[in-house]
Amino acid sequence: MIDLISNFTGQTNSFVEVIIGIFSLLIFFTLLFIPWQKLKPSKGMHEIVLRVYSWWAILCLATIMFLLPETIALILIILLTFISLREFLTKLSIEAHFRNTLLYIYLAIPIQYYLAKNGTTYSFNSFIPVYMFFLIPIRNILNGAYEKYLEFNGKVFWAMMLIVYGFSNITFLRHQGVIKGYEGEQDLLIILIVFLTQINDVLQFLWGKTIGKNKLSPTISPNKTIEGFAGGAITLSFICFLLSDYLPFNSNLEAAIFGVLLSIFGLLGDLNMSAVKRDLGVKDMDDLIPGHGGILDRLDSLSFTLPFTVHYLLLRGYL
Amino acid sequence: MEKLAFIIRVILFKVILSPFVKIILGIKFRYEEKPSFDKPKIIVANHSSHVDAIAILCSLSVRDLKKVHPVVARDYFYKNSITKLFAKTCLNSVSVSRDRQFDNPLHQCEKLIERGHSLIIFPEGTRGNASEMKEFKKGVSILLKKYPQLEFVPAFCEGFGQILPKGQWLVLPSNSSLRVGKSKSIDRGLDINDITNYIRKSILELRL
Repeated sequence: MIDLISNFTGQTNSFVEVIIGIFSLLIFFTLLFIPWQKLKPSKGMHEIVLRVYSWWAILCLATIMFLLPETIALILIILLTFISLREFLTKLSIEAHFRNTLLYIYLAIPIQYYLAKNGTTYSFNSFIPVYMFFLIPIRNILNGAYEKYLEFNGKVFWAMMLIVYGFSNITFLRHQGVIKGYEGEQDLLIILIVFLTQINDVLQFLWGKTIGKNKLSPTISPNKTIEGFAGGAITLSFICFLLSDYLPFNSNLEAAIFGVLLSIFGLLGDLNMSAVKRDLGVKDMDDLIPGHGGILDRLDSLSFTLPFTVHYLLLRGYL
Repeated sequence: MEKLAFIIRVILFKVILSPFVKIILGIKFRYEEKPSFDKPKIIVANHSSHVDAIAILCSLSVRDLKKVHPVVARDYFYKNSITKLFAKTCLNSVSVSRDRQFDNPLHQCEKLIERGHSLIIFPEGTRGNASEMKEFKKGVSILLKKYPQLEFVPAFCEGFGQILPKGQWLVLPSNSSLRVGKSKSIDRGLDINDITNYIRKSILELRL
Protein backbone atom coordinates (compact mmCIF):
# COMPACT_ATOMS: atom_id res chain seq x y z
CA MET A 1 0.00 0.00 0.00
CA ILE A 2 2.70 2.45 1.05
CA ASP A 3 4.90 1.29 -1.81
CA LEU A 4 2.05 1.88 -4.19
CA ILE A 5 1.44 5.43 -2.99
CA SER A 6 5.12 6.29 -3.01
CA ASN A 7 5.50 4.94 -6.52
CA PHE A 8 2.49 6.88 -7.64
CA THR A 9 3.51 10.20 -6.05
CA GLY A 10 7.26 9.86 -6.49
CA GLN A 11 7.85 10.42 -2.78
CA THR A 12 9.92 8.22 -0.50
CA ASN A 13 8.36 5.48 1.64
CA SER A 14 9.13 7.20 4.93
CA PHE A 15 7.46 10.41 3.67
CA VAL A 16 4.28 8.50 2.85
CA GLU A 17 4.34 6.76 6.24
CA VAL A 18 4.71 10.05 8.08
CA ILE A 19 1.96 11.74 6.03
CA ILE A 20 -0.44 8.90 6.78
CA GLY A 21 0.49 9.05 10.47
CA ILE A 22 0.00 12.82 10.63
CA PHE A 23 -3.38 12.74 8.94
CA SER A 24 -4.64 9.95 11.22
CA LEU A 25 -3.56 12.01 14.22
CA LEU A 26 -5.23 15.07 12.73
CA ILE A 27 -8.50 13.22 12.30
CA PHE A 28 -8.22 12.02 15.89
CA PHE A 29 -7.69 15.57 17.21
CA THR A 30 -10.53 16.92 15.08
CA LEU A 31 -12.89 14.28 16.44
CA LEU A 32 -11.69 15.05 19.96
CA PHE A 33 -11.81 18.85 19.96
CA ILE A 34 -14.84 19.72 17.90
CA PRO A 35 -17.34 17.83 20.13
CA TRP A 36 -15.44 19.22 23.16
CA GLN A 37 -15.97 22.75 21.85
CA LYS A 38 -19.67 21.98 21.28
CA LEU A 39 -20.15 20.57 24.80
CA LYS A 40 -18.04 23.01 26.82
CA PRO A 41 -17.40 26.17 24.81
CA SER A 42 -14.65 28.40 26.19
CA LYS A 43 -12.34 31.02 24.78
CA GLY A 44 -9.24 28.84 24.96
CA MET A 45 -11.10 25.99 23.38
CA HIS A 46 -12.24 28.25 20.55
CA GLU A 47 -8.61 29.17 20.01
CA ILE A 48 -7.54 25.54 19.81
CA VAL A 49 -10.34 24.61 17.42
CA LEU A 50 -9.09 27.43 15.20
CA ARG A 51 -5.62 25.92 15.51
CA VAL A 52 -6.96 22.52 14.46
CA TYR A 53 -8.62 24.05 11.42
CA SER A 54 -5.47 25.90 10.48
CA TRP A 55 -3.57 22.68 11.07
CA TRP A 56 -5.74 21.05 8.44
CA ALA A 57 -5.23 23.95 6.10
CA ILE A 58 -1.47 24.11 6.56
CA LEU A 59 -0.89 20.36 6.32
CA CYS A 60 -3.17 19.96 3.30
CA LEU A 61 -1.41 22.89 1.66
CA ALA A 62 2.02 21.45 2.50
CA THR A 63 1.05 18.00 1.21
CA ILE A 64 -0.33 19.44 -2.01
CA MET A 65 2.84 21.52 -2.42
CA PHE A 66 5.00 18.44 -2.21
CA LEU A 67 2.95 16.71 -4.87
CA LEU A 68 3.01 19.65 -7.27
CA PRO A 69 5.88 20.29 -9.67
CA GLU A 70 8.73 22.15 -7.96
CA THR A 71 8.29 25.39 -9.90
CA ILE A 72 4.58 25.70 -9.14
CA ALA A 73 5.22 24.92 -5.47
CA LEU A 74 7.88 27.62 -5.43
CA ILE A 75 5.54 30.18 -7.00
CA LEU A 76 2.85 29.31 -4.47
CA ILE A 77 5.16 29.79 -1.54
CA ILE A 78 6.43 33.08 -2.95
CA LEU A 79 2.81 34.21 -3.19
CA LEU A 80 2.19 33.10 0.39
CA THR A 81 5.22 35.05 1.58
CA PHE A 82 4.09 38.08 -0.38
CA ILE A 83 0.64 37.97 1.20
CA SER A 84 2.14 37.60 4.69
CA LEU A 85 4.50 40.50 4.13
CA ARG A 86 1.65 42.59 2.77
CA GLU A 87 -0.44 41.79 5.84
CA PHE A 88 2.39 43.07 7.98
CA LEU A 89 3.42 46.13 5.99
CA THR A 90 -0.12 47.41 5.46
CA LYS A 91 -0.61 47.44 9.23
CA LEU A 92 2.25 49.90 9.66
CA SER A 93 1.67 53.58 9.19
CA ILE A 94 4.17 54.52 6.55
CA GLU A 95 5.15 58.08 5.71
CA ALA A 96 4.32 59.12 2.16
CA HIS A 97 7.94 59.98 1.39
CA PHE A 98 9.12 56.41 2.12
CA ARG A 99 6.41 54.81 0.01
CA ASN A 100 8.70 54.13 -2.96
CA THR A 101 11.05 52.04 -0.84
CA LEU A 102 8.31 49.47 -0.31
CA LEU A 103 8.64 48.42 -3.95
CA TYR A 104 12.19 47.23 -3.24
CA ILE A 105 11.00 45.37 -0.16
CA TYR A 106 8.46 43.44 -2.23
CA LEU A 107 11.00 42.85 -5.00
CA ALA A 108 13.36 41.26 -2.50
CA ILE A 109 10.99 38.29 -2.13
CA PRO A 110 11.67 36.64 -5.51
CA ILE A 111 15.39 37.36 -5.17
CA GLN A 112 15.55 35.76 -1.75
CA TYR A 113 13.69 32.70 -3.05
CA TYR A 114 15.97 32.49 -6.05
CA LEU A 115 18.94 32.47 -3.69
CA ALA A 116 17.27 29.93 -1.44
CA LYS A 117 16.86 27.62 -4.41
CA ASN A 118 20.03 28.22 -6.41
CA GLY A 119 22.37 30.40 -4.38
CA THR A 120 25.07 29.39 -1.96
CA THR A 121 24.36 29.04 1.76
CA TYR A 122 26.28 32.26 2.26
CA SER A 123 24.25 34.29 -0.25
CA PHE A 124 20.99 32.90 1.08
CA ASN A 125 21.94 33.78 4.64
CA SER A 126 23.30 37.22 3.87
CA PHE A 127 21.06 38.75 1.20
CA ILE A 128 18.46 40.13 3.59
CA PRO A 129 20.50 40.46 6.81
CA VAL A 130 23.36 42.29 5.09
CA TYR A 131 22.50 43.51 1.61
CA MET A 132 18.92 44.57 2.22
CA PHE A 133 19.99 46.02 5.55
CA PHE A 134 22.09 48.55 3.65
CA LEU A 135 19.86 48.85 0.59
CA ILE A 136 16.77 50.05 2.46
CA PRO A 137 18.48 53.07 4.07
CA ILE A 138 20.29 53.87 0.81
CA ARG A 139 16.97 54.11 -1.03
CA ASN A 140 15.59 56.24 1.78
CA ILE A 141 18.58 58.59 1.73
CA LEU A 142 17.91 59.16 -1.97
CA ASN A 143 14.40 60.22 -1.03
CA GLY A 144 15.89 63.06 0.94
CA ALA A 145 13.49 62.93 3.85
CA TYR A 146 14.38 62.07 7.42
CA GLU A 147 11.11 62.17 9.37
CA LYS A 148 10.51 58.74 10.92
CA TYR A 149 13.63 57.50 9.08
CA LEU A 150 14.83 55.26 11.88
CA GLU A 151 11.37 53.93 12.62
CA PHE A 152 10.70 53.03 9.00
CA ASN A 153 14.08 51.34 8.47
CA GLY A 154 13.75 49.35 11.64
CA LYS A 155 10.20 48.17 11.17
CA VAL A 156 10.54 47.29 7.52
CA PHE A 157 13.83 45.47 7.96
CA TRP A 158 12.44 43.55 10.90
CA ALA A 159 9.37 42.52 8.89
CA MET A 160 11.60 41.30 6.07
CA MET A 161 13.74 39.22 8.39
CA LEU A 162 10.77 37.68 10.12
CA ILE A 163 8.70 36.93 7.04
CA VAL A 164 10.82 36.83 3.89
CA TYR A 165 13.98 35.40 5.41
CA GLY A 166 12.06 33.20 7.83
CA PHE A 167 9.77 31.54 5.31
CA SER A 168 12.41 31.20 2.61
CA ASN A 169 14.07 28.64 4.89
CA ILE A 170 11.48 26.14 3.62
CA THR A 171 12.76 26.52 0.08
CA PHE A 172 16.36 26.42 1.24
CA LEU A 173 15.72 23.21 3.14
CA ARG A 174 13.86 21.68 0.25
CA HIS A 175 16.36 22.43 -2.49
CA GLN A 176 19.67 22.60 -0.65
CA GLY A 177 19.08 20.72 2.58
CA VAL A 178 20.98 17.59 1.55
CA ILE A 179 22.09 15.90 4.73
CA LYS A 180 24.52 12.98 4.72
CA GLY A 181 22.68 9.74 5.35
CA TYR A 182 19.35 11.52 4.81
CA GLU A 183 19.55 12.22 1.09
CA GLY A 184 16.32 12.81 -0.78
CA GLU A 185 14.28 13.21 2.41
CA GLN A 186 14.10 17.00 2.56
CA ASP A 187 10.34 16.98 2.07
CA LEU A 188 10.03 14.62 5.01
CA LEU A 189 12.06 16.96 7.21
CA ILE A 190 9.91 19.97 6.22
CA ILE A 191 6.63 18.20 6.85
CA LEU A 192 7.96 16.97 10.20
CA ILE A 193 9.00 20.47 11.25
CA VAL A 194 5.59 21.83 10.28
CA PHE A 195 3.88 18.96 12.07
CA LEU A 196 6.02 19.18 15.23
CA THR A 197 5.51 22.95 15.43
CA GLN A 198 1.78 22.63 15.09
CA ILE A 199 1.44 19.76 17.55
CA ASN A 200 3.61 21.69 19.99
CA ASP A 201 0.95 24.44 20.11
CA VAL A 202 -1.76 21.88 20.78
CA LEU A 203 0.29 20.05 23.42
CA GLN A 204 1.16 23.24 25.27
CA PHE A 205 -2.50 24.16 25.28
CA LEU A 206 -3.59 20.73 26.54
CA TRP A 207 -1.00 20.63 29.32
CA GLY A 208 -1.84 24.20 30.27
CA LYS A 209 -5.54 23.31 30.45
CA THR A 210 -4.97 20.28 32.68
CA ILE A 211 -2.19 21.29 35.09
CA GLY A 212 -1.45 24.95 34.22
CA LYS A 213 -1.31 27.37 37.17
CA ASN A 214 1.50 29.90 36.79
CA LYS A 215 1.22 32.33 33.93
CA LEU A 216 4.22 32.37 31.66
CA SER A 217 3.74 35.83 30.20
CA PRO A 218 0.70 37.54 31.71
CA THR A 219 1.16 40.70 29.66
CA ILE A 220 1.73 39.29 26.18
CA SER A 221 -0.30 36.11 26.13
CA PRO A 222 -2.30 35.49 29.31
CA ASN A 223 -3.37 31.94 28.54
CA LYS A 224 0.16 30.52 28.30
CA THR A 225 1.35 28.75 31.45
CA ILE A 226 4.74 27.51 32.61
CA GLU A 227 3.33 24.04 33.27
CA GLY A 228 1.80 23.95 29.80
CA PHE A 229 5.09 24.89 28.23
CA ALA A 230 7.08 22.36 30.29
CA GLY A 231 4.60 19.58 29.60
CA GLY A 232 4.56 20.46 25.90
CA ALA A 233 8.35 20.53 25.70
CA ILE A 234 8.72 17.15 27.43
CA THR A 235 6.02 15.55 25.28
CA LEU A 236 7.46 17.00 22.08
CA SER A 237 10.90 15.80 23.07
CA PHE A 238 9.43 12.35 23.59
CA ILE A 239 7.70 12.48 20.19
CA CYS A 240 10.99 13.49 18.56
CA PHE A 241 12.69 10.64 20.39
CA LEU A 242 10.16 8.21 18.94
CA LEU A 243 10.41 9.77 15.47
CA SER A 244 14.22 9.88 15.51
CA ASP A 245 14.38 7.32 12.69
CA TYR A 246 12.65 9.87 10.49
CA LEU A 247 14.76 12.82 11.65
CA PRO A 248 18.26 13.48 10.32
CA PHE A 249 20.05 13.46 13.68
CA ASN A 250 22.86 11.13 14.68
CA SER A 251 21.37 9.86 17.93
CA ASN A 252 18.01 9.48 19.65
CA LEU A 253 19.24 11.76 22.40
CA GLU A 254 19.95 14.59 19.98
CA ALA A 255 16.47 14.21 18.51
CA ALA A 256 15.03 14.57 22.00
CA ILE A 257 17.09 17.69 22.70
CA PHE A 258 16.01 19.08 19.34
CA GLY A 259 12.40 18.50 20.41
CA VAL A 260 12.88 20.63 23.54
CA LEU A 261 14.54 23.41 21.56
CA LEU A 262 11.82 23.31 18.89
CA SER A 263 9.20 23.60 21.60
CA ILE A 264 10.94 26.65 23.07
CA PHE A 265 11.21 28.36 19.69
CA GLY A 266 7.63 27.50 18.81
CA LEU A 267 6.47 29.18 22.00
CA LEU A 268 8.69 32.19 21.37
CA GLY A 269 7.37 32.55 17.82
CA ASP A 270 3.83 32.49 19.13
CA LEU A 271 4.58 35.07 21.82
CA ASN A 272 6.47 37.18 19.28
CA MET A 273 3.47 37.46 16.97
CA SER A 274 1.18 38.16 19.94
CA ALA A 275 3.47 40.97 21.04
CA VAL A 276 3.51 42.40 17.52
CA LYS A 277 -0.27 42.35 17.35
CA ARG A 278 -0.59 43.95 20.76
CA ASP A 279 1.84 46.66 19.78
CA LEU A 280 0.02 47.35 16.52
CA GLY A 281 -3.29 47.30 18.38
CA VAL A 282 -4.93 44.70 16.16
CA LYS A 283 -6.61 41.45 17.09
CA ASP A 284 -5.69 39.63 13.90
CA MET A 285 -3.20 40.52 11.21
CA ASP A 286 -5.83 40.18 8.52
CA ASP A 287 -9.26 38.72 7.93
CA LEU A 288 -8.58 36.57 4.91
CA ILE A 289 -11.13 34.03 6.08
CA PRO A 290 -13.39 35.89 8.53
CA GLY A 291 -12.85 34.58 12.08
CA HIS A 292 -9.60 32.84 11.25
CA GLY A 293 -7.27 35.79 10.87
CA GLY A 294 -4.61 36.11 8.24
CA ILE A 295 -1.70 33.93 7.21
CA LEU A 296 0.64 35.38 9.80
CA ASP A 297 -1.79 34.57 12.60
CA ARG A 298 -1.57 30.93 11.60
CA LEU A 299 2.14 30.73 10.88
CA ASP A 300 3.31 32.51 14.03
CA SER A 301 5.23 29.60 15.58
CA LEU A 302 6.63 28.49 12.24
CA SER A 303 8.19 31.91 11.68
CA PHE A 304 10.63 31.02 14.49
CA THR A 305 10.96 27.26 14.19
CA LEU A 306 11.90 27.22 10.50
CA PRO A 307 14.97 29.48 10.76
CA PHE A 308 15.82 27.75 14.01
CA THR A 309 15.85 24.32 12.33
CA VAL A 310 18.01 25.47 9.45
CA HIS A 311 20.47 27.17 11.76
CA TYR A 312 20.56 24.22 14.11
CA LEU A 313 21.45 21.98 11.17
CA LEU A 314 24.05 24.47 9.97
CA LEU A 315 25.63 24.94 13.37
CA ARG A 316 25.78 21.24 14.08
CA GLY A 317 27.43 20.70 10.72
CA TYR A 318 24.66 18.65 9.10
CA LEU A 319 24.27 21.02 6.18
CA MET B 1 -17.63 46.34 -32.26
CA GLU B 2 -19.87 46.38 -29.19
CA LYS B 3 -19.29 42.65 -28.76
CA LEU B 4 -15.53 42.98 -29.09
CA ALA B 5 -15.43 45.74 -26.48
CA PHE B 6 -17.46 43.56 -24.15
CA ILE B 7 -15.07 40.63 -24.60
CA ILE B 8 -12.12 42.94 -23.92
CA ARG B 9 -13.81 44.13 -20.74
CA VAL B 10 -14.55 40.61 -19.52
CA ILE B 11 -10.94 39.55 -20.09
CA LEU B 12 -9.59 42.71 -18.56
CA PHE B 13 -11.71 42.80 -15.44
CA LYS B 14 -12.53 39.18 -14.76
CA VAL B 15 -9.36 37.44 -15.90
CA ILE B 16 -6.59 39.98 -15.33
CA LEU B 17 -7.60 42.70 -12.92
CA SER B 18 -9.85 40.80 -10.55
CA PRO B 19 -7.16 38.33 -9.39
CA PHE B 20 -4.61 41.15 -9.35
CA VAL B 21 -6.79 43.36 -7.20
CA LYS B 22 -7.73 40.55 -4.82
CA ILE B 23 -4.46 38.63 -4.48
CA ILE B 24 -1.74 41.18 -5.09
CA LEU B 25 -3.34 44.37 -3.83
CA GLY B 26 -5.33 42.51 -1.21
CA ILE B 27 -8.50 44.59 -1.57
CA LYS B 28 -11.32 42.98 0.37
CA PHE B 29 -14.81 42.99 -1.11
CA ARG B 30 -17.57 43.11 1.47
CA TYR B 31 -21.21 43.16 0.43
CA GLU B 32 -24.19 43.91 2.62
CA GLU B 33 -26.18 42.76 -0.36
CA LYS B 34 -24.98 41.86 -3.81
CA PRO B 35 -26.67 44.41 -6.09
CA SER B 36 -28.55 43.16 -9.12
CA PHE B 37 -28.73 45.37 -12.16
CA ASP B 38 -31.98 44.13 -13.69
CA LYS B 39 -33.40 47.54 -12.99
CA PRO B 40 -31.28 50.66 -13.54
CA LYS B 41 -29.23 51.66 -10.52
CA ILE B 42 -26.56 54.18 -9.71
CA ILE B 43 -23.54 53.03 -7.72
CA VAL B 44 -22.42 56.00 -5.70
CA ALA B 45 -18.98 55.91 -4.11
CA ASN B 46 -16.30 58.11 -2.70
CA HIS B 47 -13.35 58.68 -4.98
CA SER B 48 -9.76 58.58 -3.80
CA SER B 49 -7.86 56.97 -6.66
CA HIS B 50 -8.31 55.39 -10.08
CA VAL B 51 -8.40 52.01 -8.36
CA ASP B 52 -11.91 52.81 -7.01
CA ALA B 53 -13.54 52.49 -10.41
CA ILE B 54 -11.50 49.40 -11.28
CA ALA B 55 -12.41 47.69 -8.01
CA ILE B 56 -16.11 48.45 -8.46
CA LEU B 57 -16.02 47.12 -12.01
CA CYS B 58 -14.19 43.99 -10.77
CA SER B 59 -16.94 43.41 -8.23
CA LEU B 60 -19.57 43.15 -10.97
CA SER B 61 -20.61 39.91 -12.60
CA VAL B 62 -19.86 39.24 -16.27
CA ARG B 63 -23.45 39.97 -17.22
CA ASP B 64 -23.40 43.31 -15.44
CA LEU B 65 -20.27 44.46 -17.24
CA LYS B 66 -22.53 44.94 -20.25
CA LYS B 67 -24.95 47.22 -18.47
CA VAL B 68 -22.91 49.25 -16.00
CA HIS B 69 -21.15 52.41 -17.08
CA PRO B 70 -18.77 54.49 -14.99
CA VAL B 71 -19.24 58.20 -15.47
CA VAL B 72 -15.93 59.88 -16.24
CA ALA B 73 -14.86 63.48 -16.59
CA ARG B 74 -14.75 64.61 -20.20
CA ASP B 75 -11.80 66.95 -19.70
CA TYR B 76 -9.65 64.24 -18.08
CA PHE B 77 -10.36 61.06 -20.02
CA TYR B 78 -11.41 62.43 -23.39
CA LYS B 79 -8.50 64.81 -23.76
CA ASN B 80 -6.73 62.61 -26.33
CA SER B 81 -7.83 59.74 -28.52
CA ILE B 82 -5.92 57.01 -26.67
CA THR B 83 -7.44 57.69 -23.27
CA LYS B 84 -10.78 58.23 -24.97
CA LEU B 85 -10.60 54.84 -26.67
CA PHE B 86 -9.53 53.25 -23.38
CA ALA B 87 -12.37 54.88 -21.47
CA LYS B 88 -14.94 53.90 -24.06
CA THR B 89 -13.97 50.29 -24.75
CA CYS B 90 -12.30 49.13 -21.53
CA LEU B 91 -14.29 51.09 -18.99
CA ASN B 92 -17.53 51.26 -20.98
CA SER B 93 -17.79 54.80 -19.74
CA VAL B 94 -19.99 57.76 -20.41
CA SER B 95 -18.62 61.22 -19.99
CA VAL B 96 -19.87 64.31 -18.30
CA SER B 97 -18.43 67.71 -18.85
CA ARG B 98 -17.16 69.42 -15.74
CA ASP B 99 -17.05 72.85 -17.31
CA ARG B 100 -20.68 73.18 -18.44
CA GLN B 101 -20.02 73.32 -22.17
CA PHE B 102 -23.41 71.70 -22.88
CA ASP B 103 -26.91 72.68 -21.83
CA ASN B 104 -27.56 69.38 -20.07
CA PRO B 105 -24.35 67.66 -19.02
CA LEU B 106 -26.34 64.61 -17.90
CA HIS B 107 -27.91 64.03 -21.31
CA GLN B 108 -25.91 60.86 -22.07
CA CYS B 109 -26.50 59.45 -18.59
CA GLU B 110 -30.25 60.00 -18.95
CA LYS B 111 -30.31 58.20 -22.29
CA LEU B 112 -28.60 55.17 -20.73
CA ILE B 113 -30.93 55.06 -17.76
CA GLU B 114 -33.91 55.20 -20.10
CA ARG B 115 -32.45 52.15 -21.85
CA GLY B 116 -32.31 50.33 -18.49
CA HIS B 117 -28.57 50.62 -17.96
CA SER B 118 -26.79 51.46 -14.70
CA LEU B 119 -24.14 54.01 -13.82
CA ILE B 120 -21.19 54.37 -11.47
CA ILE B 121 -20.89 57.93 -10.24
CA PHE B 122 -18.32 59.48 -7.95
CA PRO B 123 -20.22 62.55 -6.80
CA GLU B 124 -17.13 64.18 -5.35
CA GLY B 125 -16.30 64.98 -8.97
CA THR B 126 -12.57 64.40 -8.53
CA ARG B 127 -10.19 62.25 -6.57
CA GLY B 128 -10.18 63.31 -2.96
CA ASN B 129 -9.40 62.06 0.48
CA ALA B 130 -11.31 59.12 1.96
CA SER B 131 -11.07 60.49 5.50
CA GLU B 132 -12.74 63.76 4.57
CA MET B 133 -15.01 63.54 1.58
CA LYS B 134 -15.43 66.60 -0.57
CA GLU B 135 -18.73 68.37 -1.13
CA PHE B 136 -20.96 66.22 -3.38
CA LYS B 137 -22.03 67.39 -6.82
CA LYS B 138 -25.75 67.30 -7.45
CA GLY B 139 -25.90 65.15 -10.61
CA VAL B 140 -26.86 61.92 -8.83
CA SER B 141 -29.65 63.61 -6.93
CA ILE B 142 -31.03 65.17 -10.10
CA LEU B 143 -31.11 61.78 -11.82
CA LEU B 144 -32.66 60.07 -8.80
CA LYS B 145 -35.38 62.71 -8.58
CA LYS B 146 -36.13 62.58 -12.27
CA TYR B 147 -36.47 58.79 -12.61
CA PRO B 148 -38.81 57.18 -10.07
CA GLN B 149 -37.70 53.59 -10.71
CA LEU B 150 -34.03 54.46 -10.19
CA GLU B 151 -32.30 53.24 -7.03
CA PHE B 152 -28.84 53.97 -5.72
CA VAL B 153 -26.22 51.62 -4.26
CA PRO B 154 -23.86 53.27 -1.78
CA ALA B 155 -20.26 52.00 -1.81
CA PHE B 156 -17.35 53.00 0.34
CA CYS B 157 -13.76 52.64 -0.83
CA GLU B 158 -11.41 52.57 2.10
CA GLY B 159 -7.64 52.95 1.87
CA PHE B 160 -7.56 53.18 -1.91
CA GLY B 161 -5.77 56.48 -1.72
CA GLN B 162 -2.65 54.69 -0.49
CA ILE B 163 -2.66 52.19 -3.36
CA LEU B 164 -2.24 54.83 -6.00
CA PRO B 165 -2.03 58.36 -4.58
CA LYS B 166 -2.96 61.21 -6.85
CA GLY B 167 0.01 62.25 -8.98
CA GLN B 168 2.00 59.03 -8.47
CA TRP B 169 2.50 56.02 -10.70
CA LEU B 170 3.61 53.32 -8.29
CA VAL B 171 0.81 50.91 -7.38
CA LEU B 172 1.39 49.29 -3.98
CA PRO B 173 -0.82 47.17 -1.73
CA SER B 174 -2.53 48.85 1.16
CA ASN B 175 -4.99 47.94 3.84
CA SER B 176 -8.07 48.56 1.75
CA SER B 177 -11.59 47.34 1.28
CA LEU B 178 -14.59 48.02 -0.91
CA ARG B 179 -17.84 47.90 1.00
CA VAL B 180 -21.05 47.78 -0.98
CA GLY B 181 -24.27 48.60 0.81
CA LYS B 182 -27.91 47.70 0.21
CA SER B 183 -29.57 49.45 -2.67
CA LYS B 184 -31.82 52.26 -1.54
CA SER B 185 -34.51 54.36 -3.11
CA ILE B 186 -35.17 57.95 -2.17
CA ASP B 187 -38.23 59.81 -1.03
CA ARG B 188 -38.95 61.93 -4.07
CA GLY B 189 -40.61 64.63 -2.07
CA LEU B 190 -37.23 65.77 -0.80
CA ASP B 191 -35.39 68.58 -2.50
CA ILE B 192 -32.06 68.13 -4.24
CA ASN B 193 -29.88 69.17 -1.28
CA ASP B 194 -31.61 66.78 1.09
CA ILE B 195 -31.20 63.91 -1.36
CA THR B 196 -27.50 64.73 -1.69
CA ASN B 197 -27.15 64.71 2.08
CA TYR B 198 -29.00 61.41 2.31
CA ILE B 199 -26.64 59.82 -0.24
CA ARG B 200 -23.67 61.18 1.62
CA LYS B 201 -24.96 59.77 4.87
CA SER B 202 -25.55 56.34 3.29
CA ILE B 203 -21.95 56.20 2.11
CA LEU B 204 -20.60 57.31 5.46
CA GLU B 205 -22.63 54.63 7.24
CA LEU B 206 -20.54 52.02 5.42
CA ARG B 207 -17.39 53.41 6.99
CA LEU B 208 -16.49 51.36 10.04
